[in-house]
Amino acid sequence: MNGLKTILIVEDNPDDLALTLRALKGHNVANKIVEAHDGVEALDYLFGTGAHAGRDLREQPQLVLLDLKLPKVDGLEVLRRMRSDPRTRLLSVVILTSSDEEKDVVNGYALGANSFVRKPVDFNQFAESVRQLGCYWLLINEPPPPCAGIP
Amino acid sequence: MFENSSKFARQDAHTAEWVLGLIFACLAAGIVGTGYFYYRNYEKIYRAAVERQLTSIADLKVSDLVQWRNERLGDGSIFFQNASFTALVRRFLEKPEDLDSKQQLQVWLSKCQAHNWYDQTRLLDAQGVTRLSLPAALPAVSTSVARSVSEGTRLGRVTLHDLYRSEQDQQIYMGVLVPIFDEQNANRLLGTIFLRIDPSTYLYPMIQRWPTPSSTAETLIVRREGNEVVFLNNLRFQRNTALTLRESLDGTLLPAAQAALGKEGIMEGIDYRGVPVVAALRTIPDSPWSLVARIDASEVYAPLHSQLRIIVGLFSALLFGAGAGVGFIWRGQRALLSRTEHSLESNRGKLVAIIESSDNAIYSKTIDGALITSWNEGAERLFGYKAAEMIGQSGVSIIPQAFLAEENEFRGRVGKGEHIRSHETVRIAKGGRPIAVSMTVSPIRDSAGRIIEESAIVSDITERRRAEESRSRLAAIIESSDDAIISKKLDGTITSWNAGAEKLFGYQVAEMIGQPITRIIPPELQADEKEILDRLKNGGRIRSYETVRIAKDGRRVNTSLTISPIFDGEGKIIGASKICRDISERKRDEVALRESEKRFSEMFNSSPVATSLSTVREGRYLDVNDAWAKMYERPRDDVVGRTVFDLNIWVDLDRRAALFAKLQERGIVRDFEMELRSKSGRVVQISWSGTKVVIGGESCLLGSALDITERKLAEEMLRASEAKFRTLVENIPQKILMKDRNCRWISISKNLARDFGFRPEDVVGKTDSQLFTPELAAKYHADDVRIMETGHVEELEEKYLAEGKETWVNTIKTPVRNANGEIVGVLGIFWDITERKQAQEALRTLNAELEQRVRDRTTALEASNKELEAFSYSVSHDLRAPLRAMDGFSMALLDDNAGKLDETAQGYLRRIRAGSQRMATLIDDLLNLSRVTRAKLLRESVDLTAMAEEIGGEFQKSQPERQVALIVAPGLAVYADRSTLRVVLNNLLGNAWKFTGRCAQARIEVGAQERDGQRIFFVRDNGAGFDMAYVDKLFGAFQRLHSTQEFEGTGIGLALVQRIINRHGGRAWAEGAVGRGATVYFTLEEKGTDS
Repeated sequence: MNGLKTILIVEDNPDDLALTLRALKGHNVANKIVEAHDGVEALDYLFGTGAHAGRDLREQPQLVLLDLKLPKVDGLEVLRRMRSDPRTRLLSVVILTSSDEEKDVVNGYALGANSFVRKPVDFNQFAESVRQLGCYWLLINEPPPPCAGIP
Repeated sequence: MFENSSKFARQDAHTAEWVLGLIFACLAAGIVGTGYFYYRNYEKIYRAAVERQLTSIADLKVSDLVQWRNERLGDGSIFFQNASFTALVRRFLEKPEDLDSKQQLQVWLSKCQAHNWYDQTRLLDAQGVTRLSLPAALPAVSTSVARSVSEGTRLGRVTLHDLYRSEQDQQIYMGVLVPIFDEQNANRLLGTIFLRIDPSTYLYPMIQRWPTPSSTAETLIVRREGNEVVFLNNLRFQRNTALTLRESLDGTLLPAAQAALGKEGIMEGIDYRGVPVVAALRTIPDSPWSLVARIDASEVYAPLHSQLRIIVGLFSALLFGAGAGVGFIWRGQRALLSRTEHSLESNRGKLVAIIESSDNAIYSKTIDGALITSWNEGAERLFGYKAAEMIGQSGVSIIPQAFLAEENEFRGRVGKGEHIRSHETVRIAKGGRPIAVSMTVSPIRDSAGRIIEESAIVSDITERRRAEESRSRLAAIIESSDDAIISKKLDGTITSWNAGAEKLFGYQVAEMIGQPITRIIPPELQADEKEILDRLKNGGRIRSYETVRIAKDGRRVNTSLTISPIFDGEGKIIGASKICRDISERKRDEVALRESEKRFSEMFNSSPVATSLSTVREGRYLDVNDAWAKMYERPRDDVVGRTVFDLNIWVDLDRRAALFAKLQERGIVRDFEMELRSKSGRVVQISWSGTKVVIGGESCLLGSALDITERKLAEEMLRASEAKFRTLVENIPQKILMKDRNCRWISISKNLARDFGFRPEDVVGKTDSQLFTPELAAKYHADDVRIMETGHVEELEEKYLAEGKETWVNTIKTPVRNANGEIVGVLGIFWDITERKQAQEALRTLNAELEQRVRDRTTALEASNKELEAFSYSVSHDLRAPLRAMDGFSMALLDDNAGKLDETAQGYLRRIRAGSQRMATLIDDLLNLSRVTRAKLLRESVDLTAMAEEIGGEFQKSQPERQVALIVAPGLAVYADRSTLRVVLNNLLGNAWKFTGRCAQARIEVGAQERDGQRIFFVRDNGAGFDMAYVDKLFGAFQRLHSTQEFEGTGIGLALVQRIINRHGGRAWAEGAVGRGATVYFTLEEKGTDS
C-alpha cells in the first residue's frame, strides 16, 4: 500500500493523538501518517521548512486532521496559511477538535475547512467518527489533482 | 500896453523858422553820423570774422604740414640705427655679389615703397654712389641730394631733403635721407638711404585744398633763398611757379615775402598777381617753409560793400524824409504865421476893448519887481482900487497874508513859462473884505520871447460857491433819502432819479434819465398819470396818493406818492417832482391785521372751548362764544351785558378771589381749576386759562374754560384703579415692571426694585442703559424691542442679580396695548426659579453620575462576559480531552486485554468510562447553560404545537416500546427564539417522557391557559411527580430530586428552561405531588404575537 497518500495529523495532546492513531489503525487505514505536535511543525511539514526543509513538496498529504487549540500557532492560523498558499490551498482539511463553540465552527468554515468534526468523549463514538472520516476522505472523496493549486 | 502881443507873435514865427532849420541840420548830421558808425561797426565785426576764418585755416594747414613732415622722418627712422639693417648694409657694401643680402635689402626698401609717398628708394654708399635702388638701376642722384648726403653724415640723424628740381626729369621732388653708420667701427658712415618723395601725389594737393568754397582763396608755401622768396608750389592763378617764381623780399606788401621773412599774423597786401588780398602768415616749425593763406580782398569785402550800399541807401532815404518833414512843417508855420499876424492886427483893438470891458478883473505884473503894470475896470470893480492907485504898486494889499507865499510861488512858475489856470483862492477887496476868487495867471513875453510880465484874470466866485453848497446839500438830502425822489418834465420824461428810486424800483439812474415815467406805471393805471399831470399843470399838488408802481423785476410796489410842480424862474411849471414811498409793508400789515381780526373772531365763535370776555372791575360779560353758552346753558344774548353776580355763576367766591390774586400776580393764568354753576344749577368743574387784556381803556379778562367734570371723575376712577393695581403689584410675590414704547421705565414693583437695589421712584423715567451694565442693558433692550415689534408674549429664563446675588428668574414679557390696540410698552413679570434651577442642576449632575456608573458597570460586565466566554471556551476544549483519554484508554484496555482482566477489573474500567462520559455530558450541559445566557435571541413566529408534536415524535421513535399519550393543544403560536424554545420543549417533554417511564398509562399534555390576560403554557405529565416542599430546588442547576439510578439526568434541564424563559421575559414554575405527576408552567413575553 505504498502508493497511498499520507495523512497529516496535527494534534498537541498525546492522548488524543494516540487515540486517533488507534482508531485509524483499528479501521485498517494503512496510509502513511505524519504527526505534527503544534502549528509550527505542521507548517514546516507543509511548506518544507524547519525540520522538514528539503522535503519533496510534490508529496502533500491527502488529508489533514487539524486540532484547533495548538501551541505556538493555533489551528485556525495554520488553516489560514494553508489556504493562502497555492501549494496547500486545495488540500482537504478536517478540523477535529474538542470544541463545539459556534465561533470555532463558523471561523473554521470561513477559512476554508472541508469538515468540522467534534471529538466525542466516548471512544466508541470517536472511533466511529474517525472510521467514517477515513472512509470518506480517503476512499470516497476524489481529491484534487496533485499540484492543482499551483498556478 | 497890449500892442506888444502882435510883435511877440511875429517874433515867434521867425524864431520857429530858424528853429526848423536847426532841427533839420541836427537830424541830417545825426542820420549821416549814425550811418557812418553803423557801417564802421559792421565792417569791424565782419573783418574780425574773416580774419578768424583765415587764421584758423592757416593753423589747420600748418598742423597738417608739421604732421606730414614728422611722419616722413618717422619712415626714415625705421632704418636709422637699426642694427640688423646696418649689418645687412655693411654685408652688402662689402660683398656686393652676395645676392642674399641684396635681396634682403631690396625687401626692406620695398617695404617703404609700399607707401606711394616714395617713388624711389635707394642705397648710396659713403661716396654718394647709388649701390642699390628700387626701381633698379637708377641714375645717380641730383647734385643737391648728393650734397645733402654728405651733410647728413655730419648731422648724424634722419633729415628731410627739401624740394628740389631733379636734374634728370626736371620734376620737383623731396626726399628723406637716412645715414647708416657702422656701429662696430667707430660710427663710420657706411652709406645713406634715400627715399624720394613726389610732392604732386599728396603734398601739393594737401596745401592747395581750401576747406570752404571760395573763388579766390588759396594756400601757398614759400621759403627764403637769400634776398628772395621762392614759391614752392604751383599757384592757383599762375602756372609753373614751383621753385621758379621768385620775388624780392623787399616787397612789404607781398604776403609771401613777409611770410618768408618770418612774419606771422594777418595782413592786407598785394599778392603775386598785383591784386589786393587778405592773408594769414605762418612759419612751419622745424622747416625752411612759411605758409600764406590768402584770399582776394574783393571776395572778402564783397558782402561788406553790398552792406555799405544798403546802409547808404537807407540813410539817404531817412535824410530825405527828414528834410521833407521839416520843409512841410516850415510851410505850415509860414502860413500860420501870416494868418496869426493878420488876425492879431485885427484883433488887437478888440482885445483891448474886451479886456477893458470884462467883468473879470484883469491885471498884469512884472515878473522881477512884481509891480502892477495894468489894471482894468473889472479889477477896479472887484477890488475897489482904482487903476491909478494900483499901477506901479506891488499889489500885496489885495493878497491875504496867508496867500503871499502862494502868490510868489505862482510868479516863479509863470516866470518859467507855466500857466496857472482857474486856481481858486482868496483875495481881499479894499476895506479888507475877503473874496473867493478863481485866478488864471499866464506869462507875457517880449518880442524876443523872454517872459517879462504875468497877466492875471480874476473872477469872483463867492456867489457860485454859495449856490454850489446849497445845491450839494439838497442833492445830499435827495440822494440819502429812502424815498424815491424823481423829477420829470411835463411830458413825463424823467430828469432825475435818486438812490432811493434806484433801490425802490431797481432801475439805475443811467437807465431812467430821459425815459418816460410811464415805465414804472402799471398798464391799467396809465390813465391816472395823465390825470396827475393835468392836475399839476393847473398848479395843484398831490399828497400821499396811494397807488401801485412796477419795479424793474416786475414786482408791484405799493407806493404813496407826493407830487409837486417845479417852476422855472418865471414861475412857469416845467415839470414835477415826485416822492414815492414804499408802503408795501404797511399794506401787508393792514391786510394781515384785518385777516387776523377775522380769524380771531371766527375762532372765538367757533371754538369748542368755552371762551368769555368780561370786565375785571364789574365782572360784566362783554362777549361769550357758543361753546360757553352751551356749557352754562345760557344763550349769548342772556349773558352779554350782565355780570357774574347777576348770573350767580360762581359757586365759591373765594375761588374767584384766588383767581384774581393770581392774575394780579402773573397777568396770565393757566389751568386754574374752579367750579361754576350753569343755568340749571349744575356745577361744572372747569379748568380755566386766561389773561388780562385792556379793551377801550377798561381792564378785561379773556379766558377759556374746559369742562373737566368728566375728567375729574375719570381721574378719580383712575386713581382708584391705580391704587388697586398698585396693591396688586405690591402684594403678589411676582416682581413686575413696565416700560413705555421707548423702553423707559414706567413702573417697578417694590420687591423688584429691592432686588436691583433701586428705589422705585429713582427708576421711573430711566432707561436700562442708565440702570444696568451695558451688556445687560443691551440684552434687555433687544428683548423689549423684539416683543414690542412682534407683539408676542415671551417667556424667558434668565439670570439676574438680586441683592447682589445671582439668581434665576422666569420672566414673562408681554406687549402692553392701549385702547386702540397699539403697543405702547412692555410689561415684565418675574418670579424666582433659583430653587427649581438648582434642583434641575442637581438632577442633571445625578443623571450624569448615574450614566457614568452605568457605563462603568457595563464595562465591568463586558469584561466579565469576556472572561466567562474565555472560561467556557477553555472548558469546552480542555476539560473534555482528559475525559476522552480516560474513556479511550479504558476502552483500549478492555479491547486489547479483555482476556487478562477479570470481570471486576473490567467492571471498574466500565465505571471509569461511564464516569468520563457522564462528566462529558455535565460539561456539555454547563456549556449550554452558559451559552443560553449569552446567545442572542432571534424572535420569530413559532408554532409551538408543531414543535411539541415533532419532539414528542422523536421521543416515541427513540423508545417505540413505550405507550405514551401525547396531547398537544392545537394552534399554540408564539413569538420567540426558535432554537432556545426548542431546548425548553425538549427538556420539558424529555422530563415528562422520563418521569412517566414507570407509568402504565403515561400521558403528557402540552397546552396553554389564559389567566389575567396572559397565556400560561404548560407541560403536564402523570409521572413520578415531586414533593412541593422541594419546589424551590427544582429549577436550580444540577439540582435533582431523583437519583440517577431512578431517573437519569444531570439536573441542568429545568435550570436551562428557566433561564431561557427568563430571557424571553417570561416566568417558569412547577406544581406537582409525589406520584401524581408534575406540571411545569411558563409564560413568554408576548410581543407582536397577536398577528
